[in-house]
Amino acid sequence: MLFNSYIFLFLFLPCAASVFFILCRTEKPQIPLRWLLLSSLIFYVWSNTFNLILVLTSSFFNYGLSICINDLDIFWKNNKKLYKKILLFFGISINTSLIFYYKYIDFLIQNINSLFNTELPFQSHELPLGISFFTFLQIAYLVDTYRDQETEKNWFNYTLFVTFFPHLIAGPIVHHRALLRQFRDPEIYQFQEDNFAIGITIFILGLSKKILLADNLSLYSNSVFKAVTVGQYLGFLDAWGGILAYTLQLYFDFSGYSDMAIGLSKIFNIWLPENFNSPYKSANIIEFWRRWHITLSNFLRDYLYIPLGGNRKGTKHRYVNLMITMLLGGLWHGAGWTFIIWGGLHGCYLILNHLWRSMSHSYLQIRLLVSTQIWYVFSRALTFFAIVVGWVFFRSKTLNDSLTVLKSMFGFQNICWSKYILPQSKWICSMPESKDFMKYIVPIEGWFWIISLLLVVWFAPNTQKLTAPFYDSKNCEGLLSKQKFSFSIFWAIGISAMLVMCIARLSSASDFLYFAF
Amino acid sequence: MSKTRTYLFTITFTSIISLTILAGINFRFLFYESIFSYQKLYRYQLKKIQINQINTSSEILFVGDSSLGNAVDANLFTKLSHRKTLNLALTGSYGYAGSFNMVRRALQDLKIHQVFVVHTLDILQRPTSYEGYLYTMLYPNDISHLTTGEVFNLGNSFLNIIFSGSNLEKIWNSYQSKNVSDSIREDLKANDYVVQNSKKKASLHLDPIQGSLNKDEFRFLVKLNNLCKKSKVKLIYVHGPIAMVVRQSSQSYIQEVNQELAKRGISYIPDVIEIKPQNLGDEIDHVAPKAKPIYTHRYFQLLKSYL
Repeated sequence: MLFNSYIFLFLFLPCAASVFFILCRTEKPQIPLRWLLLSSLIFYVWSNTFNLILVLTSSFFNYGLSICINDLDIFWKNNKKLYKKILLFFGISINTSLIFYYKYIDFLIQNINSLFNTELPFQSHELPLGISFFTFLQIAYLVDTYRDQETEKNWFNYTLFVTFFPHLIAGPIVHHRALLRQFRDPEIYQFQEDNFAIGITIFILGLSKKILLADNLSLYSNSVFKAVTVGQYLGFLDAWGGILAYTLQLYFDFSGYSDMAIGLSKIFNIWLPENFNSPYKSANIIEFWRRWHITLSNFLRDYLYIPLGGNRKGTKHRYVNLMITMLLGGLWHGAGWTFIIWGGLHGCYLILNHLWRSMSHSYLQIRLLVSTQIWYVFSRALTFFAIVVGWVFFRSKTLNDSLTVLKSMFGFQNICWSKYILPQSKWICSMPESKDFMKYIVPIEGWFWIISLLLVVWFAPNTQKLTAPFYDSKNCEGLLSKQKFSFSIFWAIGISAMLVMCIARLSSASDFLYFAF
Repeated sequence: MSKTRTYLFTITFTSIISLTILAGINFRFLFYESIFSYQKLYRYQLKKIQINQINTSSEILFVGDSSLGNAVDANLFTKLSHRKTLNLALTGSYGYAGSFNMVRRALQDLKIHQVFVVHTLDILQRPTSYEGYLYTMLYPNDISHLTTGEVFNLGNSFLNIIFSGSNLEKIWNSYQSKNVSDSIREDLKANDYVVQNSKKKASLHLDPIQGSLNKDEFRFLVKLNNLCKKSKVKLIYVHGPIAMVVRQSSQSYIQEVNQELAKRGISYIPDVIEIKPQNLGDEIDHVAPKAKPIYTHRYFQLLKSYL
């Protein structure tokens, strides 16, 4: 089931919410929680019955293992730490094997076939929805159990933490402590008008981002990348149009989904963490990774970078750990060399950023330079440029495709830079023979969308800032900082108009991009 | 009332009113009125069943899409076969589901001995034709021919249609051109099908048909086959004509379609009639009007041994 479907909007959500609050009146918290669990399982089984069996088995296995790790005294009195480690290693192996089997086995087979000229058959498994997310949640839970943090004794609550429908399929990757603690809070079992209203608002804003913005932009980005795949000529403007459209599409699609998840949880008085904080406003790559897919960054930091040693073993080790973390982060997004290259590119960006920072600490001239406004504008532009170049690899199906797009972006397809430098060096230019190269793939209205939305992501407040407690003026930023959200007729009509426009376009809505991860 | 309640009430009220207006307009013009040419065509074909019910029985029935409508002249086929022939072709957007409902109506009111189902080659690359079923339903109990899952998908399609904002523009444009729509009725009577766009000619630089088949679409063809078996009527599936260059480059696709038809026990003719460049109409699967008699002869030659 998708958030952007009629069955979810007209049937599932109204039923789930109304029955939840009716059951809250029984004053027995376990009853509405069981209903939430049942609703979440129905939500998940709608796509595929096998997926449900998989997630329940995974949940039961990890829950059982966490009990064993936590209550090891019952089984073994000696060498407790060693056995705990063995159980943790076993749990992580099983969980990562599950992702590997469904997500990476064909990638491995493809590379073995290429390297050794074999013809091993592909397994062609359909990727179960949300497997990367619910597996990571449970790995984090097992690690924290090993670290002697409090564990959940109730299997129903644990399974609800894993399968809670707002975040089940594409995050945010919420920490178990944050969610399980809320299940025990009596305040969530009372209908709260403000939470309900804010939840609906954030949900509709997220839905609008996905359907009205991301899906529109996908027309341009898909056309450009399809042209590259079929070997069609790609000009300078089309290359930039396509990748900028994708840059915006990915942001609105994924942050839209996160907003919907946060809004839905809010309806049930449950708080989910922010996942995007205007990442394209970042002035450096370190800041970008604190603003983009925040929950994944936190997970990679806490459960990969820090266990590898973090920055505790010197500068060189720090950079190696950063690179490993980013390469694995890239691989998590997809089974392909382009994703690994994207991760590696960001690893390089981070290393360079850290090097620059250490230089700016050491040299006064650099410190003075970076404190200027001009430098701030330059660094934002440079950071955005670096991110866009990274997305070329992220989006392209093959390395060849990414190189084709990059060549076009830097003018090696139809702008003969060389003739201004060395008039004789015609070999650098590859002018097409066909007259069709003058027909642009990204039309004028596409550029109108791209430029307008670039201004939005650079200067407007994001959903969380816009709907921050409207009595807290400090939380609102950007040009619209004076236009704070409030429960006014003006905002109600605006939100209603967005909802109607989204429903009117539901029939042509596409899947969320992050479902593929 | 608190500010929050007013806010929630305003969102609910304005959304419901707006969606009701949108749904009302779409429902009225897409299900009741006939402002689009494909709607006029459908009503024209339905009327043919009524006319033939009063007059004589029709032994041979052709159902399908525009590839059939532009290729086979029913009157000429009647002369060639010495059997009364009826052509109830709709458009590709109705899919197999539309053909199923047309055959169902025809079998209720006419004495049919043989049914030829003729659809264009790429019908199996389009979404499953639940919309086609909806547009060709006459009564609510027409859903009794569907399984629970199909009724659910039909409901989803219905919501897609009545809440679709893109239909408003089409409705407005069609409503504005009312004079043109009157001439469509005259064209249907004269031509026995929708007249082609004379300003448009199919391109000669054509790609092969390839890609995966939407096997879910076969569900309506299987229903049609079972319906004919139950009514003791012979059904044969025939591929619609296609541009010569496309037919020649799409052999593996055609083979795959034939295999799927055989798997489901549907009698079919494996050959695909190709349209030569000089006989190509406004689409790659449309015979030009002047060549319609030629292709009627060709289809007669192809089908005569099955009559």
